[in-house]
Amino acid sequence: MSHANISIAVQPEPFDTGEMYHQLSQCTPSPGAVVTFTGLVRDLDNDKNIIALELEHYPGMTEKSLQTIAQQAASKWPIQAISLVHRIGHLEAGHPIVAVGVASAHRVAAFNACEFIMDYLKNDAPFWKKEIRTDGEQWVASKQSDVAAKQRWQD
Amino acid sequence: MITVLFFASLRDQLGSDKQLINIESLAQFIASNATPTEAFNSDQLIAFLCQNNPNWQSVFSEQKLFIAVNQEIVQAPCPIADGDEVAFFPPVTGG
Repeated sequence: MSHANISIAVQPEPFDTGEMYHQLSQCTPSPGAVVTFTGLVRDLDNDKNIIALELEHYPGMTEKSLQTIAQQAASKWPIQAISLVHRIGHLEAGHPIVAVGVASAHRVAAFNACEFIMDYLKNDAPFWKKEIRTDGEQWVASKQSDVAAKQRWQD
Repeated sequence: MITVLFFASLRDQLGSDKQLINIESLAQFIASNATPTEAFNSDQLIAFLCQNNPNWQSVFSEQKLFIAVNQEIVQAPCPIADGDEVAFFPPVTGG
C-alpha cells in the first residue's frame, strides 16, 4: 500500500529512541504521527530474580524476518517510515531490548502498524531469550498470549 | 551437502549446533528404509539424524519445533534439496 522507508538493525549495542524519533520525524513529506514502542528486560518474573538475559538469534534469517514483517505492515497501512532495532547478546535487567517506530500521515496507521510489528516479531522473528537468574539459567518459554495477539490480525 | 542448524534449548538438548549431511548418505538411508525417491523431505532428514543419534528421537518427538529452509519458515514436512540450509528451533521468544 505504501513505499515506506524501512530501517532494520540487529545489534548488541544499546540504541537511542530519541534519535529514532528524530529520524522518523524528518521523513518527507513531513509525517503527522510518529509512534514508538520500547520493550525492556523486566526486573522480576514470578518471584525469580532475573539478573540478565542472553538473547540468541539466527544470523541472516533475523534481519530477513524483521524486514518481511515491516514490509507486511507497510502493505496494510499507509506508512511513511518504519524503524526497528532489536538487541542481541547480554542484556541487563531494566535495559531496553527492542524498539519499533512508525511514521505516517495520521495516527491510526502508526498505532496499528507498531502493534502489528511487535505481535508478529514475538511469533516469527528468530530470537531466543535465556534468563540468567540468581538460582541458575533457564530458556524463556513462548506464551500463548503472544500467539493469540498475532492471530487477531488475521481474523 | 545439507547444513543442519540447531538453536537455543534444542541445541542444548541435542548437544550439537550444526550437522553437515552428505546427500548420498541421506539417499542411502532412505533407499534402505523405503522405496527410492528423487526428492527428500524434512521427516526423512529427522529420521536420518536420529538414526545416528538414538537419544535424539525423543527430543524431536516430544516438543513443538519450527523448521526454516534457506532462512524461511516452512511447514513440515517440507522438501529438502542438496545445498539447503535447514534450521530446527523451538518457538521464538524475541521482543
